[in-house]
Amino acid sequence: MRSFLLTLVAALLLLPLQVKSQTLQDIFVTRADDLAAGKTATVKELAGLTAATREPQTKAILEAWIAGDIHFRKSDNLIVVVEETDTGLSLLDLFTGEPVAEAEPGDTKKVKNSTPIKAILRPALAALELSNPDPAARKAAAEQLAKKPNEAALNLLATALDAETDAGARTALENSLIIATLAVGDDQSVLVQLATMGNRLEPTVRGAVQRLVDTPTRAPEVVAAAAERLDAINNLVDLNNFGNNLLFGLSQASVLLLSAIGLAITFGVMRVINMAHGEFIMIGAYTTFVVQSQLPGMPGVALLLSIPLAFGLAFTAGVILERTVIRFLYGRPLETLLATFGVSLVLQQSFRLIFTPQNRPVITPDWLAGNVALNPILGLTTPRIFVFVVALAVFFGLLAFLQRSRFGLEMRAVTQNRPIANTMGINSGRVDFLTFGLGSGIAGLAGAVLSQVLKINPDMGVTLIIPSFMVIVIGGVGSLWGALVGAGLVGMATKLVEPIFPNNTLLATAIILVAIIGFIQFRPRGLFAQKGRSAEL
Amino acid sequence: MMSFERYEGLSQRYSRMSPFLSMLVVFALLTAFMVFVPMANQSYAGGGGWLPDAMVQLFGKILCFALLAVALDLVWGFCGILSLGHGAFFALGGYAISMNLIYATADEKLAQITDPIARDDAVKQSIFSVVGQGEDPWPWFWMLADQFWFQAAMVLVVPGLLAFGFGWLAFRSRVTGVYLSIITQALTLALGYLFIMNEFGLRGNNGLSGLQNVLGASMTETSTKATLFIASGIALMAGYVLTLFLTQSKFGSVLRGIRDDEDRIRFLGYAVEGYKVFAFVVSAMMAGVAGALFAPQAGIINPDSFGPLKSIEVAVWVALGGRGLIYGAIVGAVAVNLLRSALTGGWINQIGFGVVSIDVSGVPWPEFWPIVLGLLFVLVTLLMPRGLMGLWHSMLALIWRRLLRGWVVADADPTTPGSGTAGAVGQPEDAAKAQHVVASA
Amino acid sequence: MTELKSKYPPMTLNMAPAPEHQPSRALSGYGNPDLNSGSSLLMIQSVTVSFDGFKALNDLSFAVAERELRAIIGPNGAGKTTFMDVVTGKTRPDRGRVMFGATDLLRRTEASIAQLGIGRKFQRPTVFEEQTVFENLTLALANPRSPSASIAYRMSAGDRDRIHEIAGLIHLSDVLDVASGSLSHGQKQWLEIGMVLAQQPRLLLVDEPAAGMTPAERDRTVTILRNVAETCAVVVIEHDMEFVRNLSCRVTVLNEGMVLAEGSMDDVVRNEDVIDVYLGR
Repeated sequence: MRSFLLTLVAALLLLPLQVKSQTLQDIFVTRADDLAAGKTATVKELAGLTAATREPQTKAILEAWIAGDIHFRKSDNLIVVVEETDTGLSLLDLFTGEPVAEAEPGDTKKVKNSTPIKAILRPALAALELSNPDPAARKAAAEQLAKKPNEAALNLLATALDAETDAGARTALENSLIIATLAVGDDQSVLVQLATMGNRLEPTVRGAVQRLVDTPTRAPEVVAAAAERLDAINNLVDLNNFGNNLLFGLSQASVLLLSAIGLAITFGVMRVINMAHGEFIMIGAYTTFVVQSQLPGMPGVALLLSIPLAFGLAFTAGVILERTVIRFLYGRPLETLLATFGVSLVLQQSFRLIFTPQNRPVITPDWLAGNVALNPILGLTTPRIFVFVVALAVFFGLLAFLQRSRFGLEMRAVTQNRPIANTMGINSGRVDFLTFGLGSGIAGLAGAVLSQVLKINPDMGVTLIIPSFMVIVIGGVGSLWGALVGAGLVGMATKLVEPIFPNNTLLATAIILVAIIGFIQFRPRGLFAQKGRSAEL
Repeated sequence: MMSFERYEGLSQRYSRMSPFLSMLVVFALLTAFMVFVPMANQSYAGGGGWLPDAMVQLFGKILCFALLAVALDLVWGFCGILSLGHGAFFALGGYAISMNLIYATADEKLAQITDPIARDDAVKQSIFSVVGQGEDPWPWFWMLADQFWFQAAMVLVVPGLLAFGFGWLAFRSRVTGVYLSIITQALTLALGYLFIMNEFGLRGNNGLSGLQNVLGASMTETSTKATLFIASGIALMAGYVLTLFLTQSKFGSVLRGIRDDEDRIRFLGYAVEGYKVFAFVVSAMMAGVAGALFAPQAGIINPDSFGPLKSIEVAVWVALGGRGLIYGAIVGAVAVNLLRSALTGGWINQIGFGVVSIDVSGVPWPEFWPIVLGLLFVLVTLLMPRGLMGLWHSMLALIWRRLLRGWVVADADPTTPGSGTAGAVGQPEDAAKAQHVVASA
Repeated sequence: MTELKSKYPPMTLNMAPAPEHQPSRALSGYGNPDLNSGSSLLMIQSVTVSFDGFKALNDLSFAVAERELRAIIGPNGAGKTTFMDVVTGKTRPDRGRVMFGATDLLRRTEASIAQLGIGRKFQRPTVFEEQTVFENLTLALANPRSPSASIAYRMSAGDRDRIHEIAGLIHLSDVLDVASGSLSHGQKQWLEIGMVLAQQPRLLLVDEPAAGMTPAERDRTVTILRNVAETCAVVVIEHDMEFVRNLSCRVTVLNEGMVLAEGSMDDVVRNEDVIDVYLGR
């Protein structure tokens, strides 16, 4: 008998919204001792009571409680909001926010806000937030309410949706309404919702439909309708995933293009194999790192500064390499390969010793952060879009430069017929090192830009060099357009093959490499090969 | 005193030793070395000699590298195919034999399990549990891993097949020169990726380790180490003989023709592709044998051996020693690997140039070695295109032409007109040029 | 026309190998082409080759008979070397037919065309400089060409005799053991001629044999070629008019990828078109 009575009393005490409304004063002053005592059941009850109040400070108190900033002073159980200062803690009045006292960190203790408590506080806050003037806050509130849908939430959402004007918030409200309906609505409204909701890609919506399908106790026609809708959604998801892979493939292609385009010049135009090309890219990437660390707090400026700086450094390195090593090995491509590989080794190891083998962090500036999403699945991070744009800009810029400028003309003359070019007054030696410098400089520029999407470490050159050569091999030696097409093909192929082996990106790369070896059987000179008698390597 | 023509004829013949004589010299040196080392280590008396056991193993490994270098010299020095993927064949040979070694080692340790099926299962568990695949069935290619002779045959077959397939594809489409080199790099890279995967069935990144049991003998015994060392030397000699036989025959003549002017050889009626594939396959098999002897002496084989850098390093050994000589490849491989061991092992504390010597004991060589290696690449290609042996021959030629000629030739004035038969060797400058070409080619 | 005054004893060139040294057809692949298509050994029909729009050969047609000595002349860019490239398989024409006897050459590789019995001597000497004269000639001898045959090959007495015979013909007997890279330019040309002779071709294509030779060497070369033509067809591309005249053979004049004129040297030098285009007034 006695236990029954206790249970009844406890049940009564635990029902929120059934008890006569309390004021915040009642809760936080009168019952301060209960809050301090910290018994979960009691605190839950008090949280519910707080949620039911409609005073101006309710929102602030709810936020502070969720954040864990509501403490009680151990000496007298006074409930306050705490703020950290340099010297310790500042205790603020719960209702006015004015400082009332100072304290040391051990003097207060947090009022309990464990997960079951937050489970009451959060939806309440969300409900309040539904009327926040900021549409982003309303959107967040809508999403929050969908997490623990109940009748009350359903009504709130429906009401808010009718009044909502902002597009983003509307979508969020719709989604949450759907989720809530599917979770707690009756069969009729669920069926209506399934029929009218369309194929939404949000994972939370999909999850709600999935739960319906998995609930054996619901009516068969409901489960069937849910299964149908789920299929439709899944098909759309698959399509979008495929599209996303394509987008990612384009992004990968742009990364490859940036890496390979400098090589297209040195290898393609000059027929010089530079195995240190990857390390020139590495130089560019580390330039960004160093400049950013010299200009802390200005990552954007640092990035923009490092791009021309990287070009200059790599250009110089390229000229030095050409004058000291490559110049003596013209006409001996295999030796050039070996010698430049030696240079690559020296550079790699030097950077490893100077900068350690760890990945070096590069900060993405604010204007480059985030992503551009067409829908919950389809989108690209902004840095990748940046890389894509830069890659195309560099490509077309280079193309124009080679076709239109005097230097471009000299370069093409020297590669096609050096002796005649010499007799026409072109200084072929100078053209040589300037061309090589140009190709290397572009590699440096690529590195600086790619720092935003790749990991920076001494091995990054090694991972880029072989794919870059493959791009040139496919596109055809001596053709910039070939490099573009080659990069496109290799980039897309890699990203389309990878999802087939989700655990193993290396296998995908291995397959691509073998495919390229196979491709060479049919087109040994690449896609845009030079023809005629002077086309020998 | 002799006539000028006779002198020129002799000097052309003797500026460089006949290949057969060179081989005998190398063999004599090798045999002496193969006798000396086990004696200095007292390997067959339980060890304890003044030469440490680790050195025996080191020398054995270096001999395997020398064989690998000879294999590359066959296709590069004699045929002009710069394969930068020979590390793959080496690694494949190592893996092939190690499959048996690791099986035998585990089998021996679990000998107390008398039921053969249960023991086989226990061996599988002990091999694969490191990658969490102990309960999975054996991968198909492990089926005969317990048969030493089968795996030994695979040491030849697997690299050979790969070389055949790859070579047929590549050479048939006339991929040459730099393209080919880059593609061999891609090949070894791709293979490395495959071997790193645990699912591939060879323990992924862990490789095959703990290779103790070699046909019943244990690698912990000094006698086994010495035997493997001697076996490596014998394999090197066998590889030398095979390469010499091939390159001295008409086959070798065709190979050199392919190297120097592939088109011309075609127009003479030789199907170049067949020759290249043949040489490539033989070379791959030799590399496989080298890898198979290397693995037990290193105690482990793992996907690192597929690393692109390793394959390129072999080319530097050959380039440093001198291409197209066979013994040049051996010299290069020995020199670089000894240097590496000396530097990273701390043997060298001072580098002296006569009066001045630099104390290098504080240099962290393991970290600096790649820089030294890289510089070696650059210097060898820029300054020593003919390698160390090329320098040696040039020196010999110099001695013949300058120092000895004045004493030996009757008519010391080389500008006498009409010397020699009309239009034969032509002017003495031609003769000197001929000598230079022969001596330094 | 100057009398050829040769310092050297007249040569008889025994091109056909002694019967016991005839390479076995089964092994060597040196099959004889089927010669039932009339008198032509080599027939070019309407062959066109263009490089990026430029027509190197433009509907070219002509024929060469068995054991005929023919000279081809013409201005630069007339297509002379391209014609050789087409016949030997280095370049594929866009259109046309090339028949060697009754065998279609167009689908074949360079090596198989060479094995059919077509030898080519290039414009610049392409001997194997690092190898000796003896080794060069050994490579060229008409023996089986497969890798296994080359490994198993042992120099027979017959082959050795043959090499000495050819070496004598090309005046290189004294330098058989010298690396061919150290021969003079003229000697290298002869070595190359010797190599194509060793192949025992039925058709020999010679591209500018007189280039870089002294007058005495040129005379000798004329004699060699005339002798060779007694056993196999020889087509010579040349610019040196006196050389061509000394050959005393039929001359084909090419211009812009087509045949401009054909006939004896006298006919051709009097031909109006030829004078306009090539010889000048």
